[in-house]
Order: sequence, then C-alpha cells, then structure tokens
Amino acid sequence: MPLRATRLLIGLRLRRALNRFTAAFQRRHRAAAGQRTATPGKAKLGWLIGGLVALAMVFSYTNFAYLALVNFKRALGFIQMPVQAPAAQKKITAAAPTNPQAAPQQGRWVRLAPAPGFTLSAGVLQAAALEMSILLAAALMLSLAGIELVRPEWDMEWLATLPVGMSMLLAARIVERTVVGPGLIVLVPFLTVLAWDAGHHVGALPLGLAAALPLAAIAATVRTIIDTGLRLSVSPAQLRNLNALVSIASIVILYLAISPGTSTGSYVIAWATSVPAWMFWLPPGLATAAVAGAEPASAVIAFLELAAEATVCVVLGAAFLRRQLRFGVVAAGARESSRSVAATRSRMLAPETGRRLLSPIQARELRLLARDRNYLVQTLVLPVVIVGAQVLINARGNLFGAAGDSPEHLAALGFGIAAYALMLSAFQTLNSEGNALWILVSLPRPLESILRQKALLWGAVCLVYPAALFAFAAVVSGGVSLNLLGLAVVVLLGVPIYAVIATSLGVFGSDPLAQEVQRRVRPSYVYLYMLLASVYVYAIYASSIWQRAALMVLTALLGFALWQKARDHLPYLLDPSASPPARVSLSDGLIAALMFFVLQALVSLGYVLNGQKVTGSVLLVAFVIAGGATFLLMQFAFARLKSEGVPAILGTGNARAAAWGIGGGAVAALGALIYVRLIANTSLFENARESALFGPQDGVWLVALAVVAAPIFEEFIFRGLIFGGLRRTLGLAVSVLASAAIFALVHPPIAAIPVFGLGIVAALIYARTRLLIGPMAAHAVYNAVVVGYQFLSWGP
Amino acid sequence: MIELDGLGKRYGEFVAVRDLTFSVASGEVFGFLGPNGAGKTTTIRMLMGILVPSSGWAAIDGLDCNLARVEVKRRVGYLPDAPMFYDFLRGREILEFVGEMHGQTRKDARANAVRLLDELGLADAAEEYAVNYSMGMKKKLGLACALIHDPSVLILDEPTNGLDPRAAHEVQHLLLGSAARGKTIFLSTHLLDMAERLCTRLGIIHKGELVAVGALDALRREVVPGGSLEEVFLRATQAEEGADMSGGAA
Repeated sequence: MPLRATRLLIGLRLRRALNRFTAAFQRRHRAAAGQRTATPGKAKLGWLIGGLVALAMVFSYTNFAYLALVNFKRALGFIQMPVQAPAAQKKITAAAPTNPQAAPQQGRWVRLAPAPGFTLSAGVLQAAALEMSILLAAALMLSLAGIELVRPEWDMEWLATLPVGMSMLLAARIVERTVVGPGLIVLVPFLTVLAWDAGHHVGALPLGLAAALPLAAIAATVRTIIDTGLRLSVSPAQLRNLNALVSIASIVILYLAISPGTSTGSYVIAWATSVPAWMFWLPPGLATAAVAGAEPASAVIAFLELAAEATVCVVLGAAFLRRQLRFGVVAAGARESSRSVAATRSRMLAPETGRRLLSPIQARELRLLARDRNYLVQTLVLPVVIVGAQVLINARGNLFGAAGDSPEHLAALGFGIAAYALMLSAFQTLNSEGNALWILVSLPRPLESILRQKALLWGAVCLVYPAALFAFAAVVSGGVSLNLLGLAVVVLLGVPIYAVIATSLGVFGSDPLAQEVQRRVRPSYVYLYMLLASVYVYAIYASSIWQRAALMVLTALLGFALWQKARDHLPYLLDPSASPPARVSLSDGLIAALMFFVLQALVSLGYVLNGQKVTGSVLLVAFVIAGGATFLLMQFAFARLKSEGVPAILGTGNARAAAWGIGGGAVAALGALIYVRLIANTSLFENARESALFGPQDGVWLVALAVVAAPIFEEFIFRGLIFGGLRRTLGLAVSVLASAAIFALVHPPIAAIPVFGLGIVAALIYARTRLLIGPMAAHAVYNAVVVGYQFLSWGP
Repeated sequence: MIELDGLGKRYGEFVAVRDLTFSVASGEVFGFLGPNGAGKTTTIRMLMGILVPSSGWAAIDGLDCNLARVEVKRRVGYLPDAPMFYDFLRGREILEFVGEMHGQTRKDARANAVRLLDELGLADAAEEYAVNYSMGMKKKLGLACALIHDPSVLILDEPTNGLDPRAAHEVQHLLLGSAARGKTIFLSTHLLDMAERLCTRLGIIHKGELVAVGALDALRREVVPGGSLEEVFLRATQAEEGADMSGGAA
C-alpha cells in the first residue's frame, strides 16, 4: 500500500509534467465537429516535438559539461615548469606529485600527474567538486524558482485529505521531487561526463545517474523543507516576492555553473585551487570521487558514503518536516493588503492634486509593477540579469572598457535588453490581463486604444535600458561621437517600433483565457518576434546611412502592418470560432513588395548562373516575370480569400483618371529633369552614373520596361496595396509620405529623390481617382520623359 | 430596448444558439432561463460583442451589438457569470479604474466607488485585494463595476449565483430598485424562485433554442395551466429532451 501511494503520486506528477511539457508545443485545436470539448485535443506531433526538445536539452547540457571538463583540464591539468627547476615544481604540486615520465609539452608546459586512484589531477578534481556543489545549488534554486511555490493553492492541503499517513506522504513527496524536479537534468550530465572520462564508457550513464540520485534526493528534501516552511509562515504576497528573488539568484547560479564550459577565465576555475580537502567529504565531493575514481574499491566506498549521507539527510529532513507540519497542513493567511480602512478613508478625503500624465490603464499597470515583485522581476529585471550575467561571467566585465572602441556592441546590447524586456512585457499585454479581460471588454473603449496605451508605456519604460547605456558610454568616453549619436538614434527609434511589433504579435501569440499558464503563449510567435528583433540588429551594424534608413523605414512599416492585422483581429479575440473577414492591408503590400524583389533577384541569378551578362533585356525579363507573378499571385489570393478593398485598375471615370495621371506624371518628370540638371554639375553621383547598367543598345527593351511593365506592377504594389493599406488607418499626408518613402528606398540611391516626388504625385492621384489607371499613367509619362532624356544625352 | 433577430452561434458543427428572436422593452426585467449549457452565456456574450454571431443580429438601443460595440457598452453594465479580478489590486481600486475608463473624472470615480461599495456592503473589504474575496464578494464587486456608470441597461449573468441568502436578497432588492428607476434588466438564471420574484417577462432557452417566451402568467396559462414556474420550466425543457431521446432511439 505505501509503495502504491508513492507510485501513484509520482505517476501523477510525471503525467502532469509531461502534459505541461507537451502542451507548450501543441497546436490548439478548435472545438471538434459536433460536440463541445472541454480540453483541447492532443496532437500526435506533441510527443515528437517534446522528445526532440528534451533531446536537444540533454545534448546541450552534456555538451556544456564536456566543455567544462575540457577547460578544467586545460587550466588546471598543466603546470608551467620553469626551465630546469623541478624542485620548485614539486613544491607547488605537493598534493599531486608529478609523473617523472610526463613529457614536457612545447618545452615549458607539463601535464600534471593524476591524483592517486584517479585519472584526473588534484586541481581538476577540486574544480569538479566545486562545479558539482554549484550544480547542486542550481538544482535546488531552480526547483524553488518554479511556479509551484507561488500558486495560491498548495497541493499538500489536498494531498493531506487522502487516506495516506503523513510520513508516507512526505516520503512520496521527496521521492517524487527527486525524480521529477530539475535535479536530475542538471546533475546527471556532468557526472556522466566525469565517469566517461574515468574510463567507464558503457557504464558512464548508469554511474552518473546513480551518483546524481542521492544528490537530487538531498536537493528535494531541502526544497520540501524550505517550501513547506515558507508556506506555513509567509503570506502569499511575500512568497511571490521571495520567489522573484530566488528566480534571479537561480539564473546567476546557473550561469556560474555553465561558465567554465564557455571560457577558461571562469570564476569556478579561479576558485578551484582554494577548495578545501573536506569538500570531498560532502555529498557533491563524494559524488565526484565516486564517478571519477579509477579504482573500483575506493569508488564503491565513495558511493556507499554518498548513499549514507543522503539517507541521513532525507531521514532527518523527513523528521523535521513532520515537526513542521505537527499543527496541520494549513497555509499562512490570504494575500494581505496591509492597509486599514480608516487610513484610506482619510486619504480619500484629501483633495486630488495635479494633472494626470498617465491614462488609467497606464497608471494601473505601473501600480501592479510596484506591488507585484514577481511581475516586476519577470518583465524588467530578468532581461538585465540574463544578459548581464552572460556578460559579467563570460567577459569578466570588460564590455564597458570596449564601449569606447566599439559602440556598436554597446548599442546592440542596449537594444537586445530592451527587445527582450518587450518580449516579456509588451508581448504579454493581453496575457497579463488574464481572466480579468472581461473588464476591459465591457468598457466603452476599443481594445485597440487600450493596447496602444500599453505599447506606449512599455516602449517608454524599455527605452530606459539603452538610454542608460548610451549615457554611460558618453560619460566613459568623455563625449559623444557622431557614430554614437547615430547609433543612439537607431536604437532609441527602434525600441518604440518593437514595442508596437511585440504588442501586435502578442495579440496573435497569446491566449489570455487559457487555464494553463504555459499555454498562454504560442511559441511560434515568440520565435517570430525574436527573429524580427535580430533583423534590426543589422541596422546597428550597417555601414551606410542609406542601409540604416532603409531598414528602419521597413521595420516601422512592418510594425504598422502588424498593428493593422492585430487591430482587425481584436474584435474576434474572445471568439473561438469566428475570424475577421479578409481585407487588403499593409501587410499584403509588404509581402507583395518582398516577393517582387526576391523573384527579380532569383530570375537574374538564373541568367548569371547560365553565364549570361545582366543586360537591359535580362533585367526586363526578370522584372516582367517577377511583377507578373506577384500581381497574379496576389490577385489569386485576394480572390480565394474574398478580400475586401482590392485595388481597382479600371472603373468609371477612366479617362479622367488617366488625364490626371498624365498631368501629374508630367509635373513629376519636370522635377526629375531639374534634379538631373542639378546633379550633373556636382560630383556626388559620379560613380553611380559610370556604372549604369544600361546602354543605348538596350533601347527598345528599356522603353518597354520603363513605360509599360514598371508602371503596371509597381503601381499595383506601392499605390494599390501599400498606400491603400496605410490609408486604411492613417491620415492622407502620412500615408502619402510613407508610401513614397518606401517606393524611393527600393530604387537606386541616385534616383531616390525624384522617385520620392513621383511617389507623392502618384499617391495623390490614386487618392483622388481611386483607380490605379491614374498613377499608372503618371508613372508611364514620368519614365518615358526620364528615359527619353537619357537617350538624348547619350546621343546616337 | 434589446432586440434579437435570428441570432445564432455555432462552433464548427456544434450549434450553441439557434435562431433567437425576441425583444425586451425598456424598463422590463427579463429573465433568461435555461438548464446548464443551454446557451445562456453564449447569448449574453453576443449581446456584449464578445462573440461574433454566426447568423442574425442583436441590438441594444438600436445599436448593433457587434458593429457598434463601443457605443453599446456606454449604455450597458455587464456582470459575467464568474467575475475574476486583477491580482494585487484592491476592490476600491478596481472599481475606480472601471469608473475612470468609463470617462469619469478621478474624483467622481472615487466618490461613486465608495458609494457603491457602501451600498453593496463591501465597505469593510474595500481595501483588500480582490483576489482574496469570496465568491459572493466577487460577484458583488462585479455588480458594482456594472453599476458604476449608471447604465440604462443591465446584462447580468447569474447575478445571485454563489451568494448567501442575505446577500442574494440584497442584490434582488437592489435590482428591483434599479428596475423601478426605469433600467432595463436582462438576467440569466436557473433559480426559478428569483425569476418569479424579479422578472416581468421570461424566456426559456433549451439546447440553444428558445422554447417559451412571455409574461409569467401567460406562460403558466399556455404551458401548464395552473402550474408553477417550476412545472413550466420542466415541461418546456423536457419536451425537447423527450423528442431528442426518441429520435436517438429510432
């Protein structure tokens, strides 16, 4: 019976862990046909993906463990021997006498002899024992940092109602936590690697597991004592705050444990030499000795000692737990909001002063941040700790020294922290509302305006990180260089853009009503956000202003496009079955533009691979194929989805629209001719003119491209989709300027300014006539004039 | 005041609500009765613009509940069946927040919050975090959120569910007072005695379809002459059941 209870409890835990693990990777299923389903069905793929992720985790932990051992050996397994001074050498390594036969490597480095009974030298063993102690601490901290501690319900309260004795229950709990918690995953790889290194090849994993189990049992006992004690004596609010602190500490310890795998400059290696001998009498040291021992007898003794110590720990721990619970299993009181009614009454009578800078939503968000340490830590502190710990432990703090030399790294770091913080804050905008979302839904405000305020708030809050870093860099380097200023602009504009992107993706990537917290975020959208954020880092490292500006404009447009999509989706947010009707939006325009350029490049590449020169005719073919394919694919997609608002080329009033177009095109062309005259007198674009791809021999082709093909395809994308998409939610002026800007960006820099003018004229004509024939005519006239002028200037 | 026309909602193949057509006049207290899972909450969510109808439409004060959802909410106070609140916020703070979001100044929102908390007997708990409230207190706080902007229509999902007898009585009293002041009330319930005491008209929904609608007396006359509301309810929801079961057996 006792065994059965233990087995059932462990089974329940394992099942729960497995469910949670696979749940995160499953696609949500809409309610199945004909019936309501209380819980979403399980996807068969979940197992496979879950298994693959577990495999990847095991692999990376093992890899770190292996690299750590390699670094230990490299740093502590050799000694630099003064030439012909073996006596001095003996003094330093008194604990590990050198092997006289050891061949000096490269003249001066000597491999230290293994400690008696081991294959590793004493220094490496000391480092390994220290590493094991840190890993044990990490396992304990990670288990305490878990979400279980902050759950308002305490499952012991429920388990205590089952017909099982308290001792049994406690034993089952410790066994269960030994097996299921993070302990084994953290401890086994390093022990296995040690065992492998000691020559136990086939037996390495069983040995590692056998040594890890007693350690995990000790961690589980300590964890159970701590969390029971906290549950009994600390209010849930304090518990959450404590949990927040522990989660930070656990990350630092974990990074410390990982650090010897990434560099030989790790603190672990620096501290290893001062590890005292009695460390080998403690469980982590015994575990190290047990798996690394080369002589079976001493290894077995170490194992037995380890098992004995662990047993004593568990038995004493269980007795202590029984004592802790002698007054029953009742958690400490509810979440207190220690403030008396009377005090508040008097406070409320005080007159309200000052204007409010923040909207009610923003004020509420900041109030939650101030009260809920866990929320604060998870959104704003965690990014700094994770990135900072990486930098400090691996680079040993020389980053700031390098700030003066390479401000790009600093800018990337600032943007990285901010983007990470946005992923934890702005991305979670809806999730943080959780089950209280009904309040927002019942208010006479569009959800969009609420989201906008939150995006604004988080964008502003996350600006603090890069701003502080730049200020620091300015102080350290004693001034602001032009380069630093440019980087600051890129990053400080990028953060608000990514606040918008994160908020919009969060609308699709979150499920605020999901019962299980793990299910609330759809991982694919998180990855998409991370991918987009890493794209922006190119803007930081880009060499030319032109590239930077192009990336920034594109990112801003992308952010806007995503926002538009999210806005369309919001009214359907809580409806599990309905989705918004398809409408042409800015994102369609961006997709079309991207497809257009990628296809052009691919077709041209095909010619190049065939050994052909890229001539005007090749460009024309590429252009027509790419444009035609894009045009047809988009039209096909719109027809399939029955999209609303597909731009019309022809309609009532064709002649009038064409007339507007011809007139507007003439004006834009005139502007272009004046521009060409002006730059002809400067040396600004000398190189660009020299490298022009076209020659008079391409004549007819060029005319066909410029006057017929380009207007049709480009106007459909840039005016029909992009300008039309922007216009749906933005004012006329902004839409005209933004669409003209992206239109100019995709042209060569030499033509950007006159093309920008054409973009403005064409957008205005389209806004007036609502028919694409208008801007197409303008574009055709413009190109005809500009190309014709070039022909004349080339001469016959 | 509230109109439903052919309103329906399906989730894939499952039809949650089918072809609801009825209206609630201004100043009426309309009771929406039905067994668990009949489609009461789905209907109310469509009235609140949370769910998009698969067919038909619903309108409040002449405004389409789905298309003009923001305007509709200016006129409506809503209480969900199980109101949940933000963690780490006090009851009074939540109420003030809702008042401010309805466009009240901070001062007005505070005054209204204090008044409502007093009226609903929550004054002592005003400074406690709302997550610690008992079910009944949460329901009362939700009711206060629905009332704070003095709406002309109240849409209440199981308003007395989970309340102790005294609290239930107080809430009923409050609702009767609101009705007397001319508010239109649409409430769903499966507590027949409350429906009998409060409602001027009743609609009974079963398996997503409206099976009876009318004033209590008229329903009694038509469905079970001389019977109680319980008998009316059982008859109305049983007829369908029987028909379905025989259909299933054949």
